[in-house]
Amino acid sequence: MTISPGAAASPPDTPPTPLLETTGLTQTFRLPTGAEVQAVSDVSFVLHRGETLGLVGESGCGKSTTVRTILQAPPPTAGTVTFGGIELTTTPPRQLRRLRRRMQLVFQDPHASMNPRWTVRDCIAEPLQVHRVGTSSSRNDRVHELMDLVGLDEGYLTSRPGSLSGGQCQRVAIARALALDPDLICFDEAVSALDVSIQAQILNLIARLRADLELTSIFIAHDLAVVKLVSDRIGVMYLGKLCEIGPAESLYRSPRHPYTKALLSAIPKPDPRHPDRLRRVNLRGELPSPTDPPSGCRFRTRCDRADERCSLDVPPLQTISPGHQVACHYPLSASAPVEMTPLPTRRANGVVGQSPTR
Amino acid sequence: MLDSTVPSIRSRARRLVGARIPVVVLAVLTAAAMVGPLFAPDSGSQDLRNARAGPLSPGHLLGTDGYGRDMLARTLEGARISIFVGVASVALCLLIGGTLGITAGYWKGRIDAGIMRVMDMVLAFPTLILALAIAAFLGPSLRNVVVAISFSTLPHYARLARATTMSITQRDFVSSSALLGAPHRHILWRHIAPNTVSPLLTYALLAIGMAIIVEASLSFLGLGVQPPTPSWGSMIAEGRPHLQGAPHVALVPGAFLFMVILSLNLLADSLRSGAPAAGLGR
Repeated sequence: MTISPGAAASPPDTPPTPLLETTGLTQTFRLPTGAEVQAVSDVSFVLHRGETLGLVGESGCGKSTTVRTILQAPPPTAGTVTFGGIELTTTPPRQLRRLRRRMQLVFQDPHASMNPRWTVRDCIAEPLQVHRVGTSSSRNDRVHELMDLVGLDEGYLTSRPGSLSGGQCQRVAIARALALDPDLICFDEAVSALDVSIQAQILNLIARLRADLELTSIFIAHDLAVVKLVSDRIGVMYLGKLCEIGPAESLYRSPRHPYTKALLSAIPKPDPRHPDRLRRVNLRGELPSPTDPPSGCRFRTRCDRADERCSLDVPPLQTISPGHQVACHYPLSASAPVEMTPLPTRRANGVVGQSPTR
Repeated sequence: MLDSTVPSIRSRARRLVGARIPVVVLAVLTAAAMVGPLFAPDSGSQDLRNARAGPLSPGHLLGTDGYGRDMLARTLEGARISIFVGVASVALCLLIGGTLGITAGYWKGRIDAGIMRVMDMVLAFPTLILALAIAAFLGPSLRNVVVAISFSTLPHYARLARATTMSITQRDFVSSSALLGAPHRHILWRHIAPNTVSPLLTYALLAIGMAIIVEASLSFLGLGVQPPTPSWGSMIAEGRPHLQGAPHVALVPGAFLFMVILSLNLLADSLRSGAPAAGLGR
């Protein structure tokens, strides 16, 4: 099986219709102590049909919260989410429940996301049952079809999630998410809990499904190499803010935000002495507390380019080249591209693990 | 060789005592209580000439009581009452307490606060005292005993169901179902209720013993089932004045009560520690 992560990123002839658009998405939580945390702050982006957006950033930067907020669980404290032309934040609950069949979420822990008392068949059929799709025999056919699609043997239909491996369980979760032919699938760290070899199999599966079913998806991971493999575009988040968003290729080749560069330089390389290797950027200091983020640019406390302006003005997300936006007063220049090895994932295309059968 | 076999024999023995013996004891007793009265002498027939006959006397395996009634027949009759009260009150509690707890744990907020404050109020009274007061207020009858016991033990079930519900609601499969667009009805019935049942049932098994003791206590004090219907508690009370001359009148029902409670406790213990009865732990 061959995967070509860049293929779907080629600019289409007609302007693509956005499936999802968020503007000023903000999620504020109140802590028991009374302090407020802006877990997601003013995040705006557009997701086109057939496109996969990768979201990266360190733990606690708001990637998962962003996705949950888009899915209205819970709804944002400010901002809008337009999904297929419908404004989700003002949709009444009953209608929103019906809309949910068009957007699905795959969780990080595959075992926890299945009811331990149910069989695999029950788990996969649940979405069909909830939305009363088809008769029980047509649902059954669909379950078999989905099992086949995600490469699970039908012998597992009557197994309980507890008796499956993490990889098998994640296949069930993906089958479940695909059951209703959703327009949008969000993968929330869907491979982070798996072993590396299993990760590769699941990534291959996702990449194959993406190509075959023309999926639109948001893919969250903290592993940049993983995100690169499946994403057309990548958004980098830091402390609840989107710092940079752009096509996967150009973002990896020439990161424009200092934080993106630091992140990319942290990807482990097979050969540390390779001359093309991006010089490791060591960030100074610690991640500031999200309850009390720095004024102005949230990254300024750890940025070596920061000056007074960065502590005064919040840098807006600006288009720096077509489809590439960055939120920085002093973005890195694209003319002097960062020296980098071709990413290992590029070379590894198609040989990441074996073709998934189990 | 010896080293490896000894602990296994010991742990086996423990398991045997832990689960099988209590199960056998309870099964035999339940069966005897159900079919015994058909075969044993009539529990109601009095024979004052043969009062307080000792155990193993002709025709009366466990002797007779102060009215010359057969002790075995009366004890088995009493077992029926105990089993009925134990099972009925626990079933009622499971149903009502479980529903209240799940409702409180799932909806949280004001509903939770409202339900749980009422439960706390009930819990503030000692179980036995509250059951006594209710039984005295409603008047002594089998049904009222069940009501009294159910009401005074309800908070335990509600609290357990609430805590279990809260932890299940946090789990991904519930959020996953909600994100699919599942209505609350579906989540409550298909996800929460089935996963709340096993911890509740484990507790219920222990609670049956508790309910039987409370029933016996109420009957002992004359607030339970009314004579001539025999109940272990009232039988012990009747035998109390004769402890000197005819101890078996009080000791026989006492021994049965002891055996049942011990068996139920052992069984509940083994369920809690052995099988992953909670069904939640992975």
